[in-house]
Amino acid sequence: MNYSRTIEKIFIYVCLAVVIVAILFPVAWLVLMSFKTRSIIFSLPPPLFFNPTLENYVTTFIEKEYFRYLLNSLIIAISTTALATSTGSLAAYAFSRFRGFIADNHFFFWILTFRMTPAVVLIIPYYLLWTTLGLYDSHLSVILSHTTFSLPIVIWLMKGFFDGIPRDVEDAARVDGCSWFSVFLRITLPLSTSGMAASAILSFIFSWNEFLISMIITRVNAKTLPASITGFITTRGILWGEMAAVSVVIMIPVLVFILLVQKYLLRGMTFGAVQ
Amino acid sequence: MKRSRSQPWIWLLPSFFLLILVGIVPFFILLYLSFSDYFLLYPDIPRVFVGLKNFRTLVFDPWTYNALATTFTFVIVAVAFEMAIGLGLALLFSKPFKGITLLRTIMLIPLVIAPLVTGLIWNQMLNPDFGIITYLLHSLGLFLNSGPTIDPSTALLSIVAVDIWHWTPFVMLIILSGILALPKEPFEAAKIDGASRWQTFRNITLPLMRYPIMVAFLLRFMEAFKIFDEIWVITGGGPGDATRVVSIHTYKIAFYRWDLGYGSAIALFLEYITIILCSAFYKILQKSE
Repeated sequence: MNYSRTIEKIFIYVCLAVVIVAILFPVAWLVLMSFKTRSIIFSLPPPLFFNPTLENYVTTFIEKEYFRYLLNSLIIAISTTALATSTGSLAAYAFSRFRGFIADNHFFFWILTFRMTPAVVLIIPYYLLWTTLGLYDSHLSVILSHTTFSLPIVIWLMKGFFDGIPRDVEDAARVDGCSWFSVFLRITLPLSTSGMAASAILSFIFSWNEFLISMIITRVNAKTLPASITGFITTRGILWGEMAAVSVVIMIPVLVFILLVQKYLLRGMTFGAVQ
Repeated sequence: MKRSRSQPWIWLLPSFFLLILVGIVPFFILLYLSFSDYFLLYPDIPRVFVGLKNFRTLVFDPWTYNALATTFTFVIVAVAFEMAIGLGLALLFSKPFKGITLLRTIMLIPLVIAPLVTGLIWNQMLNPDFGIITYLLHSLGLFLNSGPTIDPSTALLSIVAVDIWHWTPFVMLIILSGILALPKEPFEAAKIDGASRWQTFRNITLPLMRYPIMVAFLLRFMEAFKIFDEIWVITGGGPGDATRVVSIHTYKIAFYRWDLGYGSAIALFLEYITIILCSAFYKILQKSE
């Protein structure tokens, strides 16, 4: 009995170890690649030890103009987040507090389809829309396009959080003469900071990682880091080291966010189906 | 009590404005384009109204059917593996071991990594000339003078493998949160009644877990249907048309052949499929409430 228990325990530990290695290895491999010179990347079998170099980071972010793309990515992701959370939380509040004035159910379904629409469906109209409006290759067009996907998730998530806040406090404040909006700003929002943080970070992650739309509607001026990756596929082959360096920079901020919102990450990604 | 009224519409106005601009207007553009012949290559030729021509092409185009078949093959195989492995891992990770919370946090990592970056990592590892996985396969005597991504018979399978790496943790975490929220009583009762482990799992755990399993399945199904970035950087839809899923197909029709009319017709069809999938997911969400 005891003997088989130990065997089982060892078996479970081995399985866990295999899974964790399988998850972490590709990520570690990318990080290592970003510190390798071109010749080391191409050598087989891959050497276990090598002299790490910052060359790839220096060439991309200092010599080439990838620092600019990094700034673009930051500007676009932060603006998308600000726009989506500010307008989205207002809408979510209305859905949470003024029940029954609109066919909420249909509206929520409508919002869900926005979030689930494949990006490829939207690239044709976006390309023409932004070109016609003279906004092709501008930050504003990318921000607005990304908001299509961020706004639904913010509305959906924040409604869940607002529903969880008792209305008594708000009612009391309104009896004392506060307007609906100042109640929202002074009482409801401070009570739902974790929800705001979660939806802000989910918006940020989405916009930061988005590739296809940015690739179609930007050229130079508003190009984001993911869209810039295609520039490493050159006539002399793929510049793997530099590509890895940029990929690592794309990966770092989102990894930090895991630690901040791990509790809400899954809730946001499943439309609140997982609490 | 006199309650101050507030107009709900004022709260909704900013969101509505945005959603109409970036969500509704594009659909009218798509609708308009799908009824016209519009080649961006020849901007001088005016757009002509062609009625249902693009939709007739859609119905009789074996190329598009192929892309749809490839997509559903990919989705079904990938999601089946993800569900099976995810369920197994969720059971594994639900055991109260030392340090298990740290391991669960590690499983969140693939969820936030950009699909594009995932594609790049695996493209390098699966590279036919110097990728580490191809190297290992070569030393086992497999795929000599070739690689899993450039062999037409295994290209789609390698994309499936990448998707499994990326999204199994997501399935696993959804199911895990369901397992951790399970009530204890039925399991104690089963133990007293002397049920075997398999019986307990089959007759108690699985039925109680139906909701999280359905959520994971539908979300994965919808997301896998949209796949673009990974295929774009790993195979670009090739070799031949082996990994030309419907997203890649639409993109190439619209931005390689510059046939925006037909591209829009396919895009509308994709949106139609999305709406059907969403309504299934929405029903499940509402049932839980």
